[in-house]
Amino acid sequence: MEKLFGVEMNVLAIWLSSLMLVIFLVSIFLASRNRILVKLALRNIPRRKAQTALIIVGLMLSTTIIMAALAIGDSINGGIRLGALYSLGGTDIRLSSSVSSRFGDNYLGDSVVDRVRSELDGDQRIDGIMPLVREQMPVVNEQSKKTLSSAVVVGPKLESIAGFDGLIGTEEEGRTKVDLAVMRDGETIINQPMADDLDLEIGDLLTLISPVGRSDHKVLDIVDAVGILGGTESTRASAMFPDESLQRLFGRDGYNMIEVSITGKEIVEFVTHDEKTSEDVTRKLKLAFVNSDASESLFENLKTPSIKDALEKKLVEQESAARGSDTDDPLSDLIKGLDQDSPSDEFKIAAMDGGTQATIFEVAEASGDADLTKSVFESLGALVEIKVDPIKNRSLQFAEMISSGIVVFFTIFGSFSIIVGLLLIFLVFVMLAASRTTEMGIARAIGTKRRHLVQMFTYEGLVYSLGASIVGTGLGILASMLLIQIMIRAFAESDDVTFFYSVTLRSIIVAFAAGFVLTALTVTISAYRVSKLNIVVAIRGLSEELVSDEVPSTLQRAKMVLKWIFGPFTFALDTWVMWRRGYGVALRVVTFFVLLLIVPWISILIIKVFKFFQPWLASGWPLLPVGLILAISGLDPEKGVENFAYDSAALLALGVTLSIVSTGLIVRRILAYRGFREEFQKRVSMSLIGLIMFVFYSLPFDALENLTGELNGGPEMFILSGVSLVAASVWVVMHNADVLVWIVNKIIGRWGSLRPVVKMAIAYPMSARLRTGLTLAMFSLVIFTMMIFAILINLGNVISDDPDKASGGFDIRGVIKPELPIDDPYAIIEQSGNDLSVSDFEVITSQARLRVEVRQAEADSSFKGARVRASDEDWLRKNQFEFTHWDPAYGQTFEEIWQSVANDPSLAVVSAGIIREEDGWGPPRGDNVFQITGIEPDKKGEISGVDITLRPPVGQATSDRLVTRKVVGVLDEFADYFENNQGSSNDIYMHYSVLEEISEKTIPFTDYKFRITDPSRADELTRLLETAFIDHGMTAKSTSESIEQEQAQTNAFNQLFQGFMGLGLLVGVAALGVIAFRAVVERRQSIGMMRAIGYRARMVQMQFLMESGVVAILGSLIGIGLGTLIAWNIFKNISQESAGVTFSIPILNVAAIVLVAVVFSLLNTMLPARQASGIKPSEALRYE
Amino acid sequence: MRSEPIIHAHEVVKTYRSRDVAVQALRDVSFAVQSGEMVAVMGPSGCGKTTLLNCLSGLDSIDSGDVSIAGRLLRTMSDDALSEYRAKSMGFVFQAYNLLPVLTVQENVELPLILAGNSQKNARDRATEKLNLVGLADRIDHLPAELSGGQQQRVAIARALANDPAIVWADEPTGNLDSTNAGEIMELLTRLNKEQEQTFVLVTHSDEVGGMADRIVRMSDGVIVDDGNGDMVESS
Repeated sequence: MEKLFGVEMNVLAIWLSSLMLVIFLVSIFLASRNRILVKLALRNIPRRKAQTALIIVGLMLSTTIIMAALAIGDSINGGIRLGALYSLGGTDIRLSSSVSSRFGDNYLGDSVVDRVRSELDGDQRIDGIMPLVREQMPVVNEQSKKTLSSAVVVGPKLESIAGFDGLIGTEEEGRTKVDLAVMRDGETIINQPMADDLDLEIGDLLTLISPVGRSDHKVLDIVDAVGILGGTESTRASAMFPDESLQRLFGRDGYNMIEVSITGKEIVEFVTHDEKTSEDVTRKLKLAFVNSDASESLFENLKTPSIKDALEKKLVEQESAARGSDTDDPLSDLIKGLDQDSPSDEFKIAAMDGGTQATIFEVAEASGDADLTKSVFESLGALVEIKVDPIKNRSLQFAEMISSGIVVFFTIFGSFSIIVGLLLIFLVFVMLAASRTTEMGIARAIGTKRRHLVQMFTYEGLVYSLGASIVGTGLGILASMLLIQIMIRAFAESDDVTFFYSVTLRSIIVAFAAGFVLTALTVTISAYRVSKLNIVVAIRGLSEELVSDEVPSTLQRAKMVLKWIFGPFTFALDTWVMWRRGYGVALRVVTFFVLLLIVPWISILIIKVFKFFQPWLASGWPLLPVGLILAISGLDPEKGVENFAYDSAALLALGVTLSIVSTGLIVRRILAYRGFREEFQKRVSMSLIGLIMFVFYSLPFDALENLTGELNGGPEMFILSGVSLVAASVWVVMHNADVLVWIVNKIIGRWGSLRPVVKMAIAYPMSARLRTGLTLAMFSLVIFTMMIFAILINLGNVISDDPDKASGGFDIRGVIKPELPIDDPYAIIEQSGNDLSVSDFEVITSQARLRVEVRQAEADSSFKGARVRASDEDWLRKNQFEFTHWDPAYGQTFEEIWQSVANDPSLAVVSAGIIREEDGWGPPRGDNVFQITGIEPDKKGEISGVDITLRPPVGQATSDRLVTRKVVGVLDEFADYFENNQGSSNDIYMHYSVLEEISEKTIPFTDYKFRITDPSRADELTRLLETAFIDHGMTAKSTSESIEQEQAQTNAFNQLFQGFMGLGLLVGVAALGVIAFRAVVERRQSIGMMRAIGYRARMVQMQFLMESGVVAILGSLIGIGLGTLIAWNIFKNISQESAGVTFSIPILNVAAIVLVAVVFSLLNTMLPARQASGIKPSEALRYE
Repeated sequence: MRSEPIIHAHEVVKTYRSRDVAVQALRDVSFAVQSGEMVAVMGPSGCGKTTLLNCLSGLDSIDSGDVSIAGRLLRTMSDDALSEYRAKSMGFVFQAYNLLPVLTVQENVELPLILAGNSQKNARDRATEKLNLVGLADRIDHLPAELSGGQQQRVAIARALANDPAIVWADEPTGNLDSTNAGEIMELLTRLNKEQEQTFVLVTHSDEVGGMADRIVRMSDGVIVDDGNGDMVESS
């Protein structure tokens, strides 16, 4: 993994470890100046070994979670990366024709190969250049009658294979013994997956099906599936032939690929990679294959002042849209290039960029000059002679994107657990402090300074943090190993992905340092809080809640602000004065130099300014304007103030939260003024804050849209609203705990013998509200996240409940090779033999796919990429896909709309992805993706048709063939489920007549869909179809099989994820254990007294269990309630975009989660509870 | 008037062991208390007063010998039976008051009543009655931390008397109090002893406190040197 949340992992590692180092150095420096404090601090650690162990367990969990998330990312990255590296072998750059096979001849002749050779001649960075034929074709073993409908067949030019052949062989026996240079027609080398699938051995005959028919090839060797014979991600089986054999069989001259190998660092055996060199060579090749006439002509056209102005305007627009985040913008390179006399290299490279081409074309068209438009279109089309693809770079970047996406996903959900872990750290220190209040009070009484206490606690905490980070990192690695094992087992059946465990040192460093820094910061904050104790209160041991000191006067605070405006200089003056009076100033001198680094200076100034306002902030009213300003700044530009509307849900939510808190505080002031009791003021104002926040965060996501406009919000909103909701609920519960107590008493009061136990089990948690509140919050948060996830998993199951929604009512989907088209599927079925009959099928439909560029007519936009699904009339008439939006002018029912599209070739429907906005969760969509504006995804129902214009992608056709269509419907997103492997697509479905209109070449149907008469035979018929259509290379899958496979993989991922979330649960459970253990120590005397007045040992034990039980159950209830609420909101949001999703609570799953949580909490409390009950009253009473 | 003793200890031995050191805290102590008597156990620090009280009241186990209360041998009672016996028939007052800090004054006194199976209402009424008895009826909703030492000790006494126990054990009941408060507490205790006819066993090192008891038992080094009945007890 290279990046996390957009930050380079290297940078993250360096920053975090430097921060860690700084923390260490500062501590060591301070410690060396006051060793007695260190001694005092460190002696506590070995004194109570069990407690130390417990604290470390508590502290380590955040580190564990971070480590586990990173290691899972590393493993997934490693798996995909290695897969890519092995299947690419020596190939770094792949050159191919700029024309796609659908529009013209995509084979490159010998002259192109020679040009590539001469361009790279003498270039030391190049390992080898290999032209090859590479296609996917069906293969058969006539002997065993086994078939493979799709295998990768490669025909490299054998004399050029050096530099690419390192991997041809097996791991055990090394490189193949076959002399590749003398391989002849009729011979082949196959890889192990093909040998396994077809039962082939060395010396057997492999039959290849090609456009000219069947041909036999003798197997010379069977090798590993890597390098040239590595196949693809989805098709592992592969066979290699001499290039001439394949050229003859396909009836083509030349090659469809030229691969270039580049020297670099060997990553795995025989596979080298060097990103930078790869980039440089790619650039060199791109420039070599730019058509100079086309670039000259384009250059001249764009130099026209009006065009250049228009381009500059576009640039400004784009920059403001991107808020200047993107620095290397090709459009700006292009415009800069226009200032020169001839097209520069930068100009050419920029002009090859897809997004820039779209802008250029848009500008040209807007000029209204038809000749210029035509000329621009033609020169853009001719610009790229050969496509140069840095494929290894791209594959590795892809691996990176997927794995960092997964890590982000894990970290976002994991962040709840991390927050819970940090709360636990805080809690542990609050309790540690509570146990030492008397000691600390005395220390303060004899003159220890407040900062000494902070230091003492921090030293102790740092040692714990260090221990915890070490243990946590180790445990995180263990946990991720376990989770990845689950994944490996789940995916063992699938060929697509191979997972194996891997973790990088860098991830370990990041996790360790992040864990340490987070823990250390929390420890310091807790220590600061602890130090604010009131000496008298502490010595008398009156209360656990610490009292804050009095506030300095306004004048004093203003002085401090003034002083820090001049920061280091006033500090230096003070130091000088102190020095003159004979004080030691070494520390202050060091501090002075630190302050000169500006950042600490400014930070302190900010803190002082904040402190200046703090007393007023506490009274509430100043927060109100701050909150309102924040909220307004978050509005959508349409609804908010011009130039001050940042369209951010998070800003709005923060602002509203502040305003709510402020309102509550103001209410408290008013109540105080009216002379109400403090208890009452607190309860009313705090409950008010909690309740309003609860209502605000539990509103459906779009409830306030009329007021705020549609706001941007990504994963951060999920965390913010989740945490706020839980906090608000716990807040309300804790401030109204007595009501709860009353209810519980009423209920349990019926069982007389339990009453004394219940009384104590409630009295203790309610008297330590901070502790109980924190624990409750932790528990609720964990259950909350698990609950949401459990419900969301359940939503996905809709597909298996109603497969027709996703399959369109087709039972089997088959895809054939475009080189081996089918004339009449019914005839082939008829001829195939006894097992398969035309009467088995109700409908057989066919479709073709075609990449095009599309523009929405009325929106002022440029052509962008989309895919046409050209369908025969049977498909259009008989599919059962449903619409979320439709034009009533073309039908009142879904069926009528489909009939209209079948009858009138000028109509089209689009997939859901075309109208959906990006939501910040998935990978970015890129800017060359066609979107229709003006149809709102969540306002389902009637629309009026949208006119669009289609054309072949730039460079694919010599003439500008424009095709217009009217979009009369938007499919629900389930239609993408099988059509696009669940991904969101931008497909446009229409009558097949579009094919002739848009391309000169005949485009074959490749997608066949079957509805069968007896659905129970789906799997059997699928196999029979593959055999019957083997000469067309059909790979078929039944709907039920797809769903099962899909479900299995989703389940595996869910398991992995729930396991990961379980780590969070561990934190919650640990918290209850920590509290219970502390409670036993703290309450020894009370326990003794209780035993003296007649409590039985069992009753004491029961009381402890009940205390944990109450928190666990209450936390579970809050978590379940809030989780259901948020899941319902998410469901509502989803169901607006896709009809027919059903909501249900997976009761068993939830029950299991709660049961595990409660049972483990009780088990964890069992030990301390037994300890407590075992205390002898006489000993407990003597113990002081 | 001498009837059957309510508390009877026979050759009680108690040894504390910590690591390799064994300390004999009680050495063959035999001793009896009559019903309704107020007995003070006195002696220098470390002589075994508190240990004697803990062993006689069943808070601590003994190594050998026998203790019987109202004719029941403590040795034969299970921990649960002992707990129940303490709840119904004994009350305790300690030097450090040992009120439960999370409960109000009223709730502290109610607790033994609830333990003994009284209804909530009944417990409330009787707790109020006992708090009246010790003169704290106006403080029932306060938390212990909000009371003075003397007041806290009165609450502890009210709690000890809640179930009208046959025996009240008091370990240095005035140890943490000034002389005025101590005097008041002792007056309260003797008054209650006379009015309620309950047996009181006090441990104290204060002569003043001891002087208010019916009888003083003197201890030294784990043995009773004077049982206050006029018999000088020989150490074995």
